[in-house]
Amino acid sequence: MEVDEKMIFLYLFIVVSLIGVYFFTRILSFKKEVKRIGKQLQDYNNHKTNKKIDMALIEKNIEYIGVEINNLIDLHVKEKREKIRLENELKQTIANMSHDLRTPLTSIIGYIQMAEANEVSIDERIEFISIAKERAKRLEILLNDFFELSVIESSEYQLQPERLDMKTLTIDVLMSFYDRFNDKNMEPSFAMPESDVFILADRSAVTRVIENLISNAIKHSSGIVVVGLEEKESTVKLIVQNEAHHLTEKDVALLFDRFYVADQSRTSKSTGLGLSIVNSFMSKMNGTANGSLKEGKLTIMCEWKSMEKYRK
Amino acid sequence: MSNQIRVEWFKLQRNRTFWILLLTSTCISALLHYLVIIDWWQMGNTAFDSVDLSEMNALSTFTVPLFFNLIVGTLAAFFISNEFSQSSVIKNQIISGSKRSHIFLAKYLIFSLASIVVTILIPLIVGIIEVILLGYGEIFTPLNLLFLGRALGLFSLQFLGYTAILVLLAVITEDSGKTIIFSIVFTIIMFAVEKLMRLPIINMLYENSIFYQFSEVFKCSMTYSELIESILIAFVTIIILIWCGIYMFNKKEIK
Amino acid sequence: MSNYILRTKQLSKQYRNNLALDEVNISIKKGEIYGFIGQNGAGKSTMLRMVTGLSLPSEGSVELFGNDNPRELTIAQKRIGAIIESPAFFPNMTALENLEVHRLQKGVPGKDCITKSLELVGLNDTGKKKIKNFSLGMQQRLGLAIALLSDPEFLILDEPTNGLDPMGIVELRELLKKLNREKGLTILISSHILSELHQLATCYGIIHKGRLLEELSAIELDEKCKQHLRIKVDQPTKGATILESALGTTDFEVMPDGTLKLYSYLDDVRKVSKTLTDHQLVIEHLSQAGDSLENYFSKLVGGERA
Repeated sequence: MEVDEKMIFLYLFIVVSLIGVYFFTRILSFKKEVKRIGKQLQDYNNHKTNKKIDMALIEKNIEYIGVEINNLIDLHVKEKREKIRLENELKQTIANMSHDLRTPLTSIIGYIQMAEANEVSIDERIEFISIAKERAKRLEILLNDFFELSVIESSEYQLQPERLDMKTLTIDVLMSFYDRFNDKNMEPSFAMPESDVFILADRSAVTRVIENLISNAIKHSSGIVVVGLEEKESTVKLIVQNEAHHLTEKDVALLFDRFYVADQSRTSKSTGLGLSIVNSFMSKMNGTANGSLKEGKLTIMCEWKSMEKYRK
Repeated sequence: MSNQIRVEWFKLQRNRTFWILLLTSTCISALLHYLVIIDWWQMGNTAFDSVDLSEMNALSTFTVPLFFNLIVGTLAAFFISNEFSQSSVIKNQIISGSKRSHIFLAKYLIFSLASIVVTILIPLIVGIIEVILLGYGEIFTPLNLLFLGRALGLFSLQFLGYTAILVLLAVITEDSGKTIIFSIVFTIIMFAVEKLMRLPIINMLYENSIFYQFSEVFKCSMTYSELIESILIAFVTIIILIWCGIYMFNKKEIK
Repeated sequence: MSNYILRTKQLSKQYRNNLALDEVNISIKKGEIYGFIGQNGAGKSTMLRMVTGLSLPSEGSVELFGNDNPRELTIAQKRIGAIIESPAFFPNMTALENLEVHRLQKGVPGKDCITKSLELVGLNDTGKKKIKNFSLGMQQRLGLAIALLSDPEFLILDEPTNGLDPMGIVELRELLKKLNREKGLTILISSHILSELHQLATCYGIIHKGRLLEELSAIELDEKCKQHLRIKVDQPTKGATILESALGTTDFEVMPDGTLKLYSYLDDVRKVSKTLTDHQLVIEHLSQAGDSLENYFSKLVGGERA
């Protein structure tokens, strides 16, 4: 049986060498895979690609490296996008500002040019100049609002929280609007709670929020204005409601946008920044501001945490 | 490429046709082996007789192209062609940015592996188990086992050439029905050529094809030159067919 | 890195006697959402199939991420996620299994991407349900999950709103916007309805009978489609003042080049021109401009037909 023994050895040799080849190729493929990952990372770092790592899924531990590299890429992308978003916001702000300034400026120059003309009478000239002056004043308010907004939003602006009696404060502010309500023959209705309501917040900021909300309601409504205050589940809500038949859902969604004026023609005296200021103050105070529209009534609701919450 | 192979493997594991064929093959071979071993079905003149392995005679059924094509053709139809026509998942594979040649090769490899398991390994293992269980275990001498190893090893090599034909067919027809029909027609033609053809040129070609080798590899003794010839024929066939397949697949418009 | 994600040069496709695509040149920059508009059979899918490597161009070339030779193109395709025509799945597998197939195919490390991607499209609770029992809308979402699996840089969607209900369309639009904003994903989306892509696309390519008729940005399109009077007078500032004082409207804009765009008085152009002339202004140009989206589209396509 000598021949057969040789044959058996031959078979054994084939089997062993097959196993050897298997392990050898496996090690080679690991090596190749690690090299490929390195190459992909190099391309990523040289900005040749933004592709995440892909790999031959042959070994758990190599795959694990891939997972973590991809997580890192995710982080990187997120930060990059955030930067781009901020840049775009800035660009948009500048573009919007120049747009907001151009139209009133054109009209001011127009009135001045007309006043300069020889054929106009003195009376007309005075009228033109006074219109131009009024427009210029509106521009000034707009610029002041811009300035205020940028101050509020800057990180250096610090609020000084104190214990505030919301009920008294709201009524105080409302009283100061007495004349303006009278001018438009409007009667605000109140919905105040029985007990006192306290929050921990900056007095001037809260005052400004209430002022802006009420003045916004007076400006845009001819009907009823409801001002309400309620305390529920450790939050304090200030609600200002007014009639707004000309608004749509879409307008409401954009209400707090910096450059949004529902009345696109920009005829009204508002600058459109009142609610943006409210929004900025509210987020500075860790509160929220929301708008909703129901049956032609616009409700703006500001929420603070009540003092109860702080005591606990 | 290893990813493509893993994909095909994953798909094979979840391919219903594959499991049905596996079960069918197990049942048929169990039955055939049983009938042969109890001498209910007497086959004479097989390659296994000549090496005193008559109890394994049933295996010779599985070495006839007309028969094993039914199994392998069906698998090709439902594992490969189906992806082109029915679910058109082949689109996803192409879009994923893998090389088409890699996709083709992976399909070929896994399909061949599945085919070898279903048509060669299962009948062999079932046969060996039955022979041992029914008390004929002593027929397996080292010499016999060496014969089985050599014959089935070479047969598998030729078989790889055949699976390459089927993959090519499946890729060209893109339709499961057509794949089955064409593969049956093809085996019938080859059968006819074997039995009826008298033209010397065609005979010469046939004798150097894997179809001739399917029976040649079961000769009880082979010279080294015959061995090398057999291996060469198989390799040349595989390489040419795969090259054709990749060429066709590369040029293909995927629907 | 090239600034262009996709460029095609004189891309043409001939099917026997039928010229499906005729020398199309489009270019898509990084971060754009490109709306590819055309009627059914205009050649949208033909074009997308060539971009994704499903079919080969008869003439011209495709350049992806600045690569245009076939070898690099295949590699570049790994950076794409796409649904062409309809999404394709293994009907007997679950959503998870289908995604796993694709994950292996693309070689994405870690199975986390599967759950993330399913969450993104809102399909994270389909469990053992096989795809063949999915509704058409769910299949579309799953297709999107597959396309997004590898977190691609460029997403190609061919008529993705087919089979989606109106709610689904809104969700899809929001999702695409979010991905574009948060990841800088560049998107190519085809549709036969222009208005469907309005508010989403930042750029449009309009294709008809295999030819690219026009490529324009969303801003340009809006400009063309907003109804207004274009007025050009010799003294723009005075013109603006007169519009304000004599016509009592401020519903206008002063463009940087001095053109006035008046959004009211569209039905009384004579009054506008008379008022302006009465105030000693010379009108150099006065015309009505703007179209509805669909009007604009059919005009463009119709014009080509005539």
